[in-house]
Amino acid sequence: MTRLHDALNELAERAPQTDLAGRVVADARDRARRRNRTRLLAVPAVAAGVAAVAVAGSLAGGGEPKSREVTSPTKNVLNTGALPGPLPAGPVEPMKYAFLDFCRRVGDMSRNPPAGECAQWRVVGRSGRQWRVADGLGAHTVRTDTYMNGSAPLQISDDGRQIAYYRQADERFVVRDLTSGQVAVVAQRVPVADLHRTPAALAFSGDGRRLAISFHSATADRALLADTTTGKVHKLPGSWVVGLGRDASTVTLAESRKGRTTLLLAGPDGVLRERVRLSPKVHLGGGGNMVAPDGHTLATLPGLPPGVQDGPAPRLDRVMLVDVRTGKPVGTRKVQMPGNTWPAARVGWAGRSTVFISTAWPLDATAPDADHLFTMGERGHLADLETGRVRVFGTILLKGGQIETGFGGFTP
Amino acid sequence: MARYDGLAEFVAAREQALMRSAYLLTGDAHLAEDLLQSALVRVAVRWQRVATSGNPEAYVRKVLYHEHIGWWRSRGRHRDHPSAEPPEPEGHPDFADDSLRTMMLWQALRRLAPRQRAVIVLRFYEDCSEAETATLLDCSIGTVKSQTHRALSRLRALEPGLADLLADAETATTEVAR
Repeated sequence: MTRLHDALNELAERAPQTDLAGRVVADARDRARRRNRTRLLAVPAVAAGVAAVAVAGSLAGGGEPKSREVTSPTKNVLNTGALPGPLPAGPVEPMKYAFLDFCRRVGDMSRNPPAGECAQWRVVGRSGRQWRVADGLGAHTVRTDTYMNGSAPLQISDDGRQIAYYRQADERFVVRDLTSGQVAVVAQRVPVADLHRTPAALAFSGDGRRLAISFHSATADRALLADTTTGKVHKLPGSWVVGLGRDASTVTLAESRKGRTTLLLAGPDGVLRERVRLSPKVHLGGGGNMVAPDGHTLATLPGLPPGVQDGPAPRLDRVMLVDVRTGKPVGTRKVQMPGNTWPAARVGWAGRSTVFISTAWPLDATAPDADHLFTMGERGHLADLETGRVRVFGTILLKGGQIETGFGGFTP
Repeated sequence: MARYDGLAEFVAAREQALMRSAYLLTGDAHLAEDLLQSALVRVAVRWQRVATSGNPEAYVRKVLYHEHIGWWRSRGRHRDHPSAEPPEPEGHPDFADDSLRTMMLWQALRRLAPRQRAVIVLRFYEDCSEAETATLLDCSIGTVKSQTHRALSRLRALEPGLADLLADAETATTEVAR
């Protein structure tokens, strides 16, 4: 063995865990079906001439090999039928979607929110199977007149193998390792009254070893950074975390005052290292871990011009990359997003040069049904910054009047 | 034997080992998974024949390496993306010297031509002999030797700090050549 072997071995050990068995068999079956269909069409094509041959060729798909789409009910509304059972205590498959449908109720729920099993978060695995997060808080009572903080957050890690949520029983956030069923309790208690006061948001670091708990309000408490194995917590120097990178070795926070945004760069111990003025050219919206695995490249999307509060949604046709160490844009990458996309809800990094972007399902694309329920949802996209190509990761479609949705599991 | 009998079990048992090779070949977790899935699907469609051959893993590896080289040919030369390099040593004080060297190797490896990268992974990670490497890549032993020599020289040129790490690999290569 050479030292080169040892170094290569060390690098190879960093390869992520995969779970390809189901996908490979499904993909092979799909190919076999397509091939058979092409054969069936190819016979009449001989007699029918060139046009029919072209159809057969297009059905063959040119032998394009890769589709990362799993067989899941992405084209169907997810909250129909009976309620799923609770998440089991032991190991379970990686998750892809989470949602809260407020029991499909319509109207103001701020004073009389739904309760019980139907008000709990539901998670959807890669296979499409669903569970309820029975010990987590979903929809809850709020005392203000806004519905925006009527739910406690739930977040799926980038690899889908962990979920973080709020457990009302002990008023703490917890991180559940789905591969083992083990639960880490975040050491800092967050009274449920604090959640009533201000909406909270969760974000995992790329490696899933840290969880940021942000509070989206200028007057909110300082954000927390928790170790997802031990639950140990450090308070961060601001309330809104915009990125953790791969390993949270640098935590990027943002604070806005008088129309100006400043980035706060902190260490994993919560100590502020640097304050950086963010260029006014940068629109910082959405949520999630927006900082690349390199720890300093922030992915941002087009937003409304500075000072404009309302107006038509900007076209999501590019990703602006910002160096958090300078606060300045370092480049723009065009991405071929579908034309009807609405402003993004979350941004994340699915690889070295792949950005996850979720967009709201256009509400005006559907009329309410006979029960006055809308079809609403969110669609996740994976945008390759090198080629500009965008592919759909998955779609959450729900019937209801108010929903919360979340994606995860978009990295291998 | 049903069409895919044993395939899921084979993938479950060997995918992680194969993923490590794919990760070294592509330098990217996402691409590695795509590459591996693509190779496994190619094998899956002829699984019955592969399984009865008695050594499906060898077949998968051959497909994996060919797929890797073919990918880069069809996609054009891989461009390093300036916005998302692996973590930099600066600002990461927990980087020890060995880790720094490993990171340098990672970056240099990604700048090799696909076939050179494949040769390095096969010869020095998978510890394949020159003959085995030649069989897997469908080329002559002489080509393996020359590609290995060029790949090691290129790594050294890209990252002079890797000289120590590469020294015994170069020695081993020279001894085999004699």
